[in-house]
Amino acid sequence: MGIDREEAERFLYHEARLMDEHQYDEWESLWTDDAIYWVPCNADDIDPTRHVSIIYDDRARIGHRVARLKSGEALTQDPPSPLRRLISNIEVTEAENGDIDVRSNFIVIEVRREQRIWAGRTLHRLRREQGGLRGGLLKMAAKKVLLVNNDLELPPLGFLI
Amino acid sequence: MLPRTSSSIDYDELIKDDQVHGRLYYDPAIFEEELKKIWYREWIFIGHESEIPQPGDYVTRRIARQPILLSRAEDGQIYVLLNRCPHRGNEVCQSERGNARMFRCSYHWWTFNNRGDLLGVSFRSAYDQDFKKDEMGMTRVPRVASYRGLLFASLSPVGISLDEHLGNAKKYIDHYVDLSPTGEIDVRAGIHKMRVQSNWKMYVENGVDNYHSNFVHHSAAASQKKELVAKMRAVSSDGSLAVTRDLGGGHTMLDFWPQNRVAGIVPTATAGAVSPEAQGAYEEALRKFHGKERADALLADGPPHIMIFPNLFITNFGIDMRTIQPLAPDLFYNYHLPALLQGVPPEINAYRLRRYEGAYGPAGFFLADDMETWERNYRGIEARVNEWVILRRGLHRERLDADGLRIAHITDELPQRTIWRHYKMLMARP
Repeated sequence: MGIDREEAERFLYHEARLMDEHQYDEWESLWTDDAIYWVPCNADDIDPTRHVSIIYDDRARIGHRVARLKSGEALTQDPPSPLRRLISNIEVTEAENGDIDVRSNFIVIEVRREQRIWAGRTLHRLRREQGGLRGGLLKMAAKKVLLVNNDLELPPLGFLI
Repeated sequence: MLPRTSSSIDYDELIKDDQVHGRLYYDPAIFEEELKKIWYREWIFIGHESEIPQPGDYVTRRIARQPILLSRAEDGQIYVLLNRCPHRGNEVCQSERGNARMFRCSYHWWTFNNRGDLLGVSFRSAYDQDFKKDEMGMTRVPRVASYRGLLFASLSPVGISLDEHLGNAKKYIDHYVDLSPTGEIDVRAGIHKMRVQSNWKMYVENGVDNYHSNFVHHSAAASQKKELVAKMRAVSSDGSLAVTRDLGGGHTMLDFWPQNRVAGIVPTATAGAVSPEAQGAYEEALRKFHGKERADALLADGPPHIMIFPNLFITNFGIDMRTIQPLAPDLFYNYHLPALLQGVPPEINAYRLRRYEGAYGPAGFFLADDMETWERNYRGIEARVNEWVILRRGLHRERLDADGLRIAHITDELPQRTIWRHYKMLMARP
């Protein structure tokens, strides 16, 4: 049950819109149960068991992150930042077990008292969940976000990147 | 340029026992005077010896605005240099960390060894005999000292020793480092770096303010476990055994331990979260190194919660050393240096990092909301009416503990009053 480039692109744009529009529940439903949401700190290639990350969420913590955002009480997202992001330079490669890796560049404009720019490259590992007519929905088994400024002093990163 | 009117500022008028004036946060002249009288004079935390273990290792840092270079030379000693070429003032080392045999200024290719001594001058013949090569090295920071591997520097050639400066806080630094079963921590786990558009003193005050925890951090606690909210409330309740403490020297503490012991809370505990084998190995190593009594006390209490004035913060809820460097009245950088424990199964350090990240760093559930609060706090301070900040909370219930140190209830503003009293003393000096 392969995943073609067009479907992968559709998935990325869909995910981007959910993040931009703060559709937290829908975004959370895109993850597999064993998912890892990773934003490395200081460099792109670090050993997360010995080096701190900006975000290293397992599935449970993704749930906590979403619950906090949904509560409306997270000060960094009160009010939620208006967001729009562009996704480009998409490259698709086969991974193990029928998964595919999708690499793409992004620019996010965030408005939080002033207009800020965030940018980087994302690696999505996409997997087709079992079941259903076409073999089920596409989900994120892992997402690694390489911020170009991951070694700079950063403002709060309160939204979903 | 900003006006330099520092000598005319009357700090007695701005700092009272129960309130301080907003001008202390926003006035550029006061900021300049703070650089001179605090940041370029006092003992400033700059890093940890384990960050540069091998000869040739270096990291670049800052003391407020001044660029510095921490370098370990072939003799094994650490040298702290102003990262400035003595020729024309160019910043010499551009990489934030690495290993080098020498440093070469990019402007005219003067070269320096790891101790900052001048090695070579390009096209040397143009300099006459009065050119004293021995005196043309990179300037060394006048005083450097360490305690348990924590490095401090003072840009003043005279002043009290680091030992005297740390005073009562030393035993709490011991408590933090001793959580590692070799008695040494490994501070090579990266750095969380934050940029905050606020005044640095709001950071110092906030780190030892437990009053805000229930409110600013409500969503962080509630999104994880409901009982966490109740536990936080209990710590702040009237009957709480937790106290604020004045450690002397401008250093302050939130002593959560008495309450945590009763409630059975250890915020950074690995027990129950890692495999029994890993936890067993950690506890056994800790008991072997420290003895059972000390090891059990360390495990029961976790790290201390101390603010070493002006820029070292260790928290009961973290695994890291935190520091700040002020850049302007309304801008400071905040750095967190997580420490790995030595001599423990890798699983222990991995879990400690994961737990720490959930709360701290630019995307951490707790710190992101603190950052937002520091910025809101500064923007409010810009209102130029009713400029006083009220620090009365618990003023009537300060008392002395068994060691003769001033304590009060855990939500009282004793730490903030203590910090300002010390600040006033420093700023009143010539």
